[in-house]
Amino acid sequence: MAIHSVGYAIPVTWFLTVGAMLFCIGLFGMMVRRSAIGMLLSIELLLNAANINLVAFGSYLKIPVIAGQIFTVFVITLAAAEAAVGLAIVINIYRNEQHIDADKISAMKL
Amino acid sequence: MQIGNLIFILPALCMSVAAIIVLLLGVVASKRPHKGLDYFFPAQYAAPVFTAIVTGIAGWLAWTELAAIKAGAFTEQAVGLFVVNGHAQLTVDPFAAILSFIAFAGTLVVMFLSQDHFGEDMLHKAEYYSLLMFASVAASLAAAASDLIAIYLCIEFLSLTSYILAAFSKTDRRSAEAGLKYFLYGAACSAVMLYGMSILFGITGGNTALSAIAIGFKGELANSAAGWVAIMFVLVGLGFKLALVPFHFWAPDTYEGAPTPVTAFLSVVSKAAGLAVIVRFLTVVANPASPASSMWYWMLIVLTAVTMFYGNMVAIWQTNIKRMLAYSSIAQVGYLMIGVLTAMSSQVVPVDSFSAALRNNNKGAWDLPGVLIYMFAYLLMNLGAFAVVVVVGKRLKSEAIDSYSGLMKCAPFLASALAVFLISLAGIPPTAGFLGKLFIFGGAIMTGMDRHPELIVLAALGIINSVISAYYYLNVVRVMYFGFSGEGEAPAEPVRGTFAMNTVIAVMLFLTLAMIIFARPVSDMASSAVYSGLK
Repeated sequence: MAIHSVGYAIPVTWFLTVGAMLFCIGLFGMMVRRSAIGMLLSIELLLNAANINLVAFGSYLKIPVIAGQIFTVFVITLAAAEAAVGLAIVINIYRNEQHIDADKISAMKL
Repeated sequence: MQIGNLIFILPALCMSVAAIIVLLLGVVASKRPHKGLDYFFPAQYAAPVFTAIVTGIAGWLAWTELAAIKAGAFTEQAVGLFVVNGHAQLTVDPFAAILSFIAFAGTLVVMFLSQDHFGEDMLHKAEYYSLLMFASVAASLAAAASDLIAIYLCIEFLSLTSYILAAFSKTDRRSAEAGLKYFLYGAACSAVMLYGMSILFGITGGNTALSAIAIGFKGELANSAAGWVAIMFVLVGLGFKLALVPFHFWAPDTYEGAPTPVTAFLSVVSKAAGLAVIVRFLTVVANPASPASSMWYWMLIVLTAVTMFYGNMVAIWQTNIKRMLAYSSIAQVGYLMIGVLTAMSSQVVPVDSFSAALRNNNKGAWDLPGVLIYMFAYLLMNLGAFAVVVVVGKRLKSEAIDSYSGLMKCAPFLASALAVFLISLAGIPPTAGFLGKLFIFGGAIMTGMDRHPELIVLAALGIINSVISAYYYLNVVRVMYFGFSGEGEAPAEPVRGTFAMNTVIAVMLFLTLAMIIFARPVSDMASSAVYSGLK
């Protein structure tokens, strides 16, 4: 791997570990949360795990590249749009069903 | 950045402007409904007009690129946009141009379907049509995306618009549920894909362009756990878009609950975009020429086989025609994936770009041309089937297969059209679906004879699955022609589509049947799009 940590107080693996932990928490949340809002929050965690990775890689590479940060800016913007769309869909569900429990929403049977 | 290169994404640019115009027209028109602007130029007519123009531009672009290839004038400098160090964010090669044409043409048909399905007095119609147009822009750009940022943005752009479209019937509980399920699965899968991309970005030394990643992603790195995780995670996101089997859970519910035109859009246009991205990704980055990649190659082979069987086996038991078409479209993606895997296995040396992959490929191979031909055939037959489902569903207020009983008596044209589309989906000659399957399975067997016996097995499984699928497709035909043995009775009054819908169905019907007559030019076009001319 073209990654070094000379000159930095914190090695890159620490950032990656935080990212991986966030990712696992997000995935776990997606699986166990029943409220649609809880799942939305978990999705945000997943996205931010990737953001931490991108920024950490971008600044710790042998030749630091700006692309990681550019990518992250795009992701943050998209995450905001995604949250807006997701909340709109959840509000619509609430108007129809009076609850947002994802497990109980099954007008169609499998 | 080269301004001149913008001409390659001219269709997408025009479509974005047109979508904004439609949105603004809708705002102005909604001030005085049924008067003035809303009367003379309402969104449901403005949008197809603009889309038809853009489809024309996209067709012209694809045609000129193909002509340039024939003349040998097509050079790699002409490809791509915003080229930095030889790596482009978008690569508008003929493959992308044709898939982008398919996306726009599919959207145009979906708009006609929407006109019939929602009618004149639809709420928020300008928003609906402009969302469709934006979604087609995203699909067209995704077909050309060759950089991680571009891929992620295009896939997300397409997803976000599709989530809203799936949930568009606000008061319909099933539509809301379809939207929620699509959103939750989609957002999670694309976040996983993004995480995979971030690892891929890091381990290949901070590159986002696929061609640069392919250079860095070789040998030891491809064998490492990080490389493996990265590729797997990216494939999760792409598999979701295509509804490959472990990531298909959203498909049946979303397809059944979403408004029927949106279902048609998701099953064709959205899949064309996913297919384009997965082809680029698999042939360049996850190139099987690198030793470790045989792992994901084999995994994809298993997934493809499972996808075909699962889609067809579950489709047999469906009583709702939209749900049946949903499962059948899962199986159809399995057939398309055979073509993609054949193209993937033809690579014997690592390559650093899609065009390099094509140059290495066997010139006479049928794999990627087969994918293009099958995708076009799939556009015709699947949208045709959905067009009939829209017309019948609107008139009979039912999507149950039973309600099609005796349709032949009260709507002979619609019933025979649906019969042809279903026969084509089953891959029975002389239809477009047969031509597509011939190329895909033929390509797999040809490459398989050489050194990949697994592809022959896959093609054999595909043929077995076509036979299974014929059972449930022809069951619908049986119900339409001979009635249903149960309680279903023939509808009292004749079912008639509007003139516009009948024309659309007739055109699709003609193309589905005529494609086999024009097999030679079609296959020539598809192979020159994929092989020759790239220097």
